[in-house]
Amino acid sequence: MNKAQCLRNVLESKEFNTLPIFLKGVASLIDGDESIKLESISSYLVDSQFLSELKDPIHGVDFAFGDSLRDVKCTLKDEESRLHELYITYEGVKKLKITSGDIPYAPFLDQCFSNVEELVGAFFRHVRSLQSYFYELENIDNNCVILDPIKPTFKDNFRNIRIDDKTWLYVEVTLDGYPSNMHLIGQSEVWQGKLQNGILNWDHDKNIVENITSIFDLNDHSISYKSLSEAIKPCDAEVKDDIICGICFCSELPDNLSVPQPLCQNLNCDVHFHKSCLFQWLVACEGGRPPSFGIINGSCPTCLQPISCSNNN
Amino acid sequence: MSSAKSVRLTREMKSFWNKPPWGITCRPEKEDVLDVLLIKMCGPRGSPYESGQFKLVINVPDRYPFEPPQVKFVTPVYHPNIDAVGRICMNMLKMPPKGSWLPTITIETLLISIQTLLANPNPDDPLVTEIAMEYKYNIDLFHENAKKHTKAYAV
Repeated sequence: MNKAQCLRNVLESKEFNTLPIFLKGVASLIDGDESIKLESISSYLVDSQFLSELKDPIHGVDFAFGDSLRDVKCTLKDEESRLHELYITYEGVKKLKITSGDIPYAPFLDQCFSNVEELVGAFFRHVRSLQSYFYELENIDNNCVILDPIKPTFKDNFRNIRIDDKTWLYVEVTLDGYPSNMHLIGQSEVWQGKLQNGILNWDHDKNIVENITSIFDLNDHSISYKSLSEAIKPCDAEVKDDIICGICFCSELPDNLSVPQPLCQNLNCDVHFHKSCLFQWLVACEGGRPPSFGIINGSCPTCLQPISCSNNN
Repeated sequence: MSSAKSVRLTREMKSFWNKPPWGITCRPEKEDVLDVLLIKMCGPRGSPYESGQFKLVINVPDRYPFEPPQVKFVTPVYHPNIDAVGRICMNMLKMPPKGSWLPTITIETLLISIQTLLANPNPDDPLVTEIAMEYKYNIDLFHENAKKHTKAYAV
């Protein structure tokens, strides 16, 4: 092989896709000694256009490199100075993909972009359209005691709010910032009645937290609300450890991050279950036949009172 | 081993070894594998099995705790609800609707129930009819036979 061929080989072959290997190839061409520690340089090749695009912030998005030049974190500060992050990967010339982010799902997250501006534009528009969604979730997180998700982010569009020891309120927030699929977890006819009434008299001029407070007649000292969350927070870890599922004896499941819930309607039954554990047990009682409408009935494994369970989430 | 099963078994065993119930010891057949458990159980005080120590083996199915563990006596027992090969007739060891197994029952409660069954046979749901008849109509003879049997096999 003459030098020209070797050179072409080094420049064009896919084997030389990282800087150290590439430099090694070049070094062997010059047939100098390879004593320079090439391994110390770690970088994936990117084209200069990509780098130049990242030089200036676009739409106020800042860029930072991750493990290699191909991994970039975009940070966007919105009007309310919340920070939103998006991780992108450079997969090749004009091929940018989004790997993860802390925003709810949107179709553009699956798309492939040819340049940074296009991608950031989509990110920017998505974040701007979600302002009321962020506002409601942030408000709930700041004012209520959240039991699930364990570490709430803007990616999770639902919250389980503590109403009292045995009652949780499940709320989903739509991308437009409206509540949906609101229901109570746990026993309590009183709360149930209040919720039915409250949904009918929902005040659309107020935010979700204000509505919840007035529906359940909670003054500012009972659910949140600061006083309680401060009282609970210091021993938060302990409290969470104490609540274990009566079936798997764990508080957190390894395969899905959910916490045991007070699912039994019997006021005297103090046991919590993971929804998935209870569902699996009730199905096993029925000889393994899954229910036709997603909801299965049976009896509580602790107090034997009637109980029902759905398999969503 | 499914993870739900192994996590739960590890927790159960930890609390069992922390505070073992009276007269019952439990160890895994192979270290760190909690699928097969070997049990030694003392006969309950005041029963004809008092002097004996009984061996049992527990096989924990993969679907545990959604399925009951399989428990068998290795030591022969003279009892209306335990047959010659060590099978135990107890509601708690069967799936509903026939049985009364619940995922909230632990190996520890199960073993205590078996110990209680030794002291309190249930002749109305027998596995060995002859012994049940004897227990019902000639309790003295039953006590004598059970004691002899225990002495022969379990001491």
